Amino acid sequence: MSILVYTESEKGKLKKNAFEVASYGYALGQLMGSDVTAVAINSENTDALGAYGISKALLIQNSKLDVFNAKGYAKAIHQAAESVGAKTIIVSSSADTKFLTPILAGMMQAGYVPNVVAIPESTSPLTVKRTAFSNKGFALTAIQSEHSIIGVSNNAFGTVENATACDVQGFDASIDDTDLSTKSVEVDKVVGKATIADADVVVSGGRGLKGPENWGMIEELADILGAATACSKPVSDLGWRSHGEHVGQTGKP
Amino acid sequence: MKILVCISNVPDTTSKINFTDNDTKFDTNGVQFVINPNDEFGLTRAMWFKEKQGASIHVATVGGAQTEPTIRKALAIGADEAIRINAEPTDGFFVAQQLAEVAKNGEYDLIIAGRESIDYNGGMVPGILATMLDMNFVNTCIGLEIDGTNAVAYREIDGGKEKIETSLPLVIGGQKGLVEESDLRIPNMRGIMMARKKALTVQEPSGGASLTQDQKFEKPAEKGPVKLVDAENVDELISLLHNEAKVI
Repeated sequence: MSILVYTESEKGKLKKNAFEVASYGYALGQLMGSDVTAVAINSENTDALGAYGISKALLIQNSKLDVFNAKGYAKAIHQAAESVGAKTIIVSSSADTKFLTPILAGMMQAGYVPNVVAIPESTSPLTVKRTAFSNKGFALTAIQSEHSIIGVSNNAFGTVENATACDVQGFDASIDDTDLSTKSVEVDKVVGKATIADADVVVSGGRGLKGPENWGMIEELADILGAATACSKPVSDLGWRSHGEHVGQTGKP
Repeated sequence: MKILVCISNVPDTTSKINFTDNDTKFDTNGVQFVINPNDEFGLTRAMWFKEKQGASIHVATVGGAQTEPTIRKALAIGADEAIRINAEPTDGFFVAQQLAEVAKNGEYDLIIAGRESIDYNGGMVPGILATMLDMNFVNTCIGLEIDGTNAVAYREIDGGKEKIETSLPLVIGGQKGLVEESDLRIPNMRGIMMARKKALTVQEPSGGASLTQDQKFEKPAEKGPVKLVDAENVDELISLLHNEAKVI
C-alpha cells in the first residue's frame, strides 16, 4: 500500500505546511511499512522535500494550474494517486487544501478526516485523533473505506528532519477547461505578514482594547514576534478587524 | 431561482461539551440545539435572494425527529418548504449522499451549506455534494452575487480574500461574512405561526454508507488560569514570554 502526500506551494515555492505534511507522511510510511510519494504542482523547489524524508516526488507542471483551482488541483492529485496506487492521501489544513480535499474525497469515494493532530493510533482500520466540537473535544475516528484522506492540523505534528535525496519525476496531469469552470479573477491578500493559518505565534485582542485605534500595539507586538494578529468575535462583528482575523467557533480554529 | 439550504442541527455555541456511554457519544443532556451558525449565514443570504430576486427556498436536514424544532425555525425565518431525511448524520460522506438525492429531485440552481458544522467540524459536505452532483463549488464563501446564471463569489483565503466568477448551478460552503451578524433574523410571531402550516416532508434515507466512524471522544486538558501581569512589572512579562510561552 502506498501513501501520497500533497505538498502545497505558492508562487513556485513550497509552503511551510508542505514540510509538515511531508514529515507526517514519512512517519506514517515508517509506521505502516509503506512507500511514500509526494506530489507538488508548479513548484520550483520540490527536491527540498528530501530534508523531511521524502525520497520520491511527482511534479505536475501545468500552466492551467498556475492559479489555484480547487477542482483542477483535486483532479491532478487524484491522477497522481492513481498512478502510484496510493490508498492514503495526506493533506494540510490550509484554506486552499480544505477547499480541494472534499472534491478529492468525492472523486475517490475516500473517507476524509480533517483536523488530525497525531500519527494514527491504529493502522487497521486507520484510526486518527482529531479535534472536534470547535476545539472543545477530540474524536478518535476510524476510516472504513478503501481510500482514506488525512488532513493534518496546522502546527500539530511539526516538521521533522530526516534527510534523504528526493527523486523528482515529472507527471502529466490531464486537465480540461471544463474542470476550471470556477475562475479566480482577483486576489486581495496581505503580503509580508504571517497569517493565522501558518503562524507559530498569534497575538490576539478583544473588546478590552476599547477601539480599533488601539490595535497598533497588537500589530507592533506581532511584528516583533513574527506573529499573526487575531481577534475575538465581538471585535470582528463591530468591524474593528476583518472577519479573517476572527478566531473561535464561527471563525478560525 | 430555486435554492436549497442545508441545515445542520448543532449544540448552541455556549453549550458545555461532555461525553457519555463510556465517552463514545456526545452528551445531549441539558443541551439546546440550534441552526448551525454557518448554515444560518447561508439561510439569511438565501432570504435576500428571495426578497430581492424572487427566489424560492427549500431547507433540508439529515436527522431524527428531534431536529424538527430547528428546521421549523428555518421555516419561521422564511424558507418555503422543508425536507428532513430521517437518519442519523453518521459522517459527512453519508450526509452528502442523502442531500444529493434531495438535490437531484429538486433541480436546484443554488445549494448553500455551511462550510462546516460547529460540532463535528468535518467541513466536507458541500464539496462532496458538489462533486456528486457535478456542480460548481466555492468554499469558505464570504460574499455571493447572482445575475441570471452568472455568479460572483468571494472566498476567504489564508491572509485575504479571492473573487471568483462562476455560474449556476452552484454549491457554496458559506460562513460568516456571507451576511453580517447584524443581518441574522429572529423569527417573529407571524413567521412562527406561518411555519406551522408550511410543508415539512420526511423522507427515508436512500441507502449509502458512512466511510468514517467516531469511536471515542475526549475533552482537552483543562487550561490554566489567566496570568495578569502588572503594567509596571516588565521583567515578569519578559520572563513569562521567554520561559513559558517561549515566543521570545
